[in-house]
Amino acid sequence: MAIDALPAPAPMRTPRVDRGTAIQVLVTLTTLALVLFPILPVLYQAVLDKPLYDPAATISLSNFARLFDTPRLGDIVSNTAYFAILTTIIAQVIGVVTAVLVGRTDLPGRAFFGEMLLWPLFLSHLVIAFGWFTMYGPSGYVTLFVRGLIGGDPWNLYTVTGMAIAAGAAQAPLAYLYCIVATRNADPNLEDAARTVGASPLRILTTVTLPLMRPAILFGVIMNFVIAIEMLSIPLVFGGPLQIEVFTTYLYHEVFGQATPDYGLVAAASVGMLVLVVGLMVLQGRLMRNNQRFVTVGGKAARPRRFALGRWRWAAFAVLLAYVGLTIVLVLGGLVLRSFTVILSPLMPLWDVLTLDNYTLLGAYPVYMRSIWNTIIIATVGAAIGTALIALVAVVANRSPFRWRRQLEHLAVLPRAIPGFIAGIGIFYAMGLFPPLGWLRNTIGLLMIAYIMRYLPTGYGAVAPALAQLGGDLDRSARTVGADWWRTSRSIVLPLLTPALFSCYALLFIHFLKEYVTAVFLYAPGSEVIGTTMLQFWKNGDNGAVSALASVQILITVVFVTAARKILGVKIYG
Amino acid sequence: MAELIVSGLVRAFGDVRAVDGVDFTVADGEFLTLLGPSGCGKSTTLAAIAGLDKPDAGRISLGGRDFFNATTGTFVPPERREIGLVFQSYALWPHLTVRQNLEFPLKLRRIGRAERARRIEESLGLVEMIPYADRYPHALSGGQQQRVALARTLVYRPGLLLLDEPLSNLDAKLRERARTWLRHLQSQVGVTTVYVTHDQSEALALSDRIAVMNGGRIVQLADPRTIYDRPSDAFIADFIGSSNFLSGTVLASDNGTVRVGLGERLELSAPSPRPLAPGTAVRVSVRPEQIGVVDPSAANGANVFPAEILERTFLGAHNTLEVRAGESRFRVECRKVPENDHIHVHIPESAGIVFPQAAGH
Ligand SMILES: Nc1ncnc2c1ncn2[C@@H]1O[C@H](COP(=O)(O)OP(=O)(O)OP(=O)(O)O)[C@@H](O)[C@H]1O
Ligand SMILES: [Mg+2]
Repeated sequence: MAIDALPAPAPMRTPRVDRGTAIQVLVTLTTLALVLFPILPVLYQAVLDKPLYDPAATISLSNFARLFDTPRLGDIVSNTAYFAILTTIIAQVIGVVTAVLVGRTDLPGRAFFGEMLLWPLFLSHLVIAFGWFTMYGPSGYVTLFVRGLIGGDPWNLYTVTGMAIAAGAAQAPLAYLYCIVATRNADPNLEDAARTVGASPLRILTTVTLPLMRPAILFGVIMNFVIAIEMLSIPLVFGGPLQIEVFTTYLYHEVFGQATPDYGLVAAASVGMLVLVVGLMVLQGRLMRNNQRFVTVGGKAARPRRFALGRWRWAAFAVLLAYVGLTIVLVLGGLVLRSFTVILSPLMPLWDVLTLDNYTLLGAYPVYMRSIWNTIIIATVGAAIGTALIALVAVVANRSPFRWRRQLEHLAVLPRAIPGFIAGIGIFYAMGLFPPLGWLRNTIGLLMIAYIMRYLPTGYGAVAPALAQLGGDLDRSARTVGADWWRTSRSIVLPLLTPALFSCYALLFIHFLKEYVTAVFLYAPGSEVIGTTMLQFWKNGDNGAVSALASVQILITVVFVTAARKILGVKIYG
Repeated sequence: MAELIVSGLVRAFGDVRAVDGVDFTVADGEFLTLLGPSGCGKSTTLAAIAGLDKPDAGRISLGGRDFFNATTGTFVPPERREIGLVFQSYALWPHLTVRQNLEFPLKLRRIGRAERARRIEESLGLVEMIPYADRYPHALSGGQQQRVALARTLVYRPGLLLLDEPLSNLDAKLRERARTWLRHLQSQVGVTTVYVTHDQSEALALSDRIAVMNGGRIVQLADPRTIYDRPSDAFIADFIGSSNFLSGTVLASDNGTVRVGLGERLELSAPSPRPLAPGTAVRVSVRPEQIGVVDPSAANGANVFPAEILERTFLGAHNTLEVRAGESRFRVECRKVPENDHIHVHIPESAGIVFPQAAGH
């Protein structure tokens, strides 16, 4: 074929406006609005002497003065600190031990434990709190059973220590997750090297394996500490009766306990918490930055060798089985069982109390059904919208010539430092600040916006690493054959990202399903979700209905997680 | 028509001037190779031509149309340049079949279904990959992927073809075949081509002209024969082929030929690109294959030296001898290995090139 046989290149359309830049700007502005939407009103309200919708409000620091004059501030701070520290220690110890046992030893039933230990991550703290309450509360099934055996109160869950034990068990899976990933990525050569120089397995564990897990442990410590500080459910359920207050329950009671909530005081307290959490996140960033020396190089092909437990094998198995049984199976199983009974007590034969009344009740009241449907819609639709936004943010931040792309990435991970509780308060204020947004107020749209903002970093964390794995030549070649940036993103980059986007969707779905803290301040008649309704009915003492709702949430979660994994092959948490 | 002009091109990354004032012109249909050691700025130059990277200064135009002009602030994005770039990694889109890979650029150009099918057939035919049209890239060998990558850029008839070390991922045997095939294809299609490689034999075999780069600059731009026979400096003589360098001092210089004293006793006449004053320290580059092993009877001829064999290496097609003559040591290529360790070697006058010592390294 000669050159003259080839027609001239087809002319390209010349776009009038550069749509790539337009999209990049739009995505960035959307993210900016989403992230600032809850923070700005809180900051603003904190320095106003009257509610921010009041035209007479002026700037002052009186809120902070009132905050420091709060009569029980000392108690609140020390309770919060004690609760958060103990929760973190319990969660981390359990998490590290289980990760080493499951990930690095020849423990029998590793696969089973590996699966079971992650399950609490999929469920909301509220469900777990009710589960503990049902089994280990003052009139819980297990408590009564043990009291029958020993004749006295075996324990008291209604103490800060009691709360921390429940919260620690609820957060252990997170510590486990970070550590198990670290054990998988460990370079076996490092341990083999230690072995060749004559170190015993225990010695290797303490001098090589655990130090290599240090970044994961450190990361988990700060994450769990922040989560403990932000936690509302467990302190509310267990601290309420005896009026043991931590920071979140104090704010909760300030808003819902008063006829006219003290806006300024709540905002000032929120700012205090925000500063603390931001500080912890900055600290975490600093600590993680120097971790290059813990990065183990190469050797990925070989799996790390497992330590032989020898005669401790079955002892370890029994301990782990007891742990899983007591804190996961019994807690969740008890809750489900409770939903099928009039009252759950070892003093009454089970067959006498079995009933479907709790579920009939769910069907009878529109509020119950509505909150279930709202939750499902928010999870399904909200996660889809969130995934779309996160995909765009990731592509703009990592694969575009956009000038502010680095800043966009920082912005996208910023909500990690905004407790859901404060996001809720902030959006609640924002509604007062921007009256044109009033139509959103009683809709689940508002909750979706809040949830998407809150879990932007979570989804981004699932997508960005996958994007980094994608060779840059794939988009560069699309550019040279004639595709502009947006066409390249749409036809090449995003399709190649599909598995990560599925994971992102699944993660968002699960989080939206279990989220309630953000909703506590935002829901209104018509936009209830399972969590807020559970809290409502728990306050009224409707424990049967609460456990039925919790069981429904567990069921949805189990169905979704199983379907996503088995049918779609989605990876959720590793 | 599609003549590529690059002038005064500069691209700096921080303090490193990766491309430092590069000028060249590629005539319509010409095959030009950018050749140079790793890190000399070849890929950066190519990325600037493709529009994947924005240079700091200079001008790039194709067929009279400015792609980049620092003075006027013109910068045409890559998708509007109508050029084809074949990546070292091939960059085939893994979620598309071979056919869909080729179809994408045609769809972007809103070409109708029938015409698309015809052009895909034609391009795949050119690279002999029609039977693989419905496979996914991961089910192809490296050589096959490389052909598809080429077909993908030819399918939309770009005005300029750029190739960045397209053969470097192939094994030696396949590379040689792909080379012949590529050269054949380029002359068949007649597209103006800029080819980047650090493999000198590839450059010599393929190119109409070669631009040898070093440290971000073009040090010589000429046809392969000239580059090989008349390297303009010691770096090129060393980089292209393998040269012996003999150190010496200029004894006399006349009419483009200098006499160089190698050590105490030996004298060598060789051409010099520039006149050199007697006493100048120089290096004479001589290619091993141009040195002859001669009969002792010719021992008194000009440029013939007695030498001693230090080592013999068998390389299949020929042998390499490591020899010493006076204070100089050099390599000699020959078909038949002399039995005696003491031989005479002849360096034809035209074989040596004299470079001033300072210009070398
Ligand atoms: N993005 C960048 N940032 C900083 N320095 C760069 C960048 N890209 C290239 N360089 C530097 O510019 C110089 C030229 O790089 P270039 O990739 O053009 O080399 P090359 O000739 O293609 O080498 P190779 O044969 O190894 O591909 C190198 O010193 C390289 O380190
Ligand atoms: Mg290169």
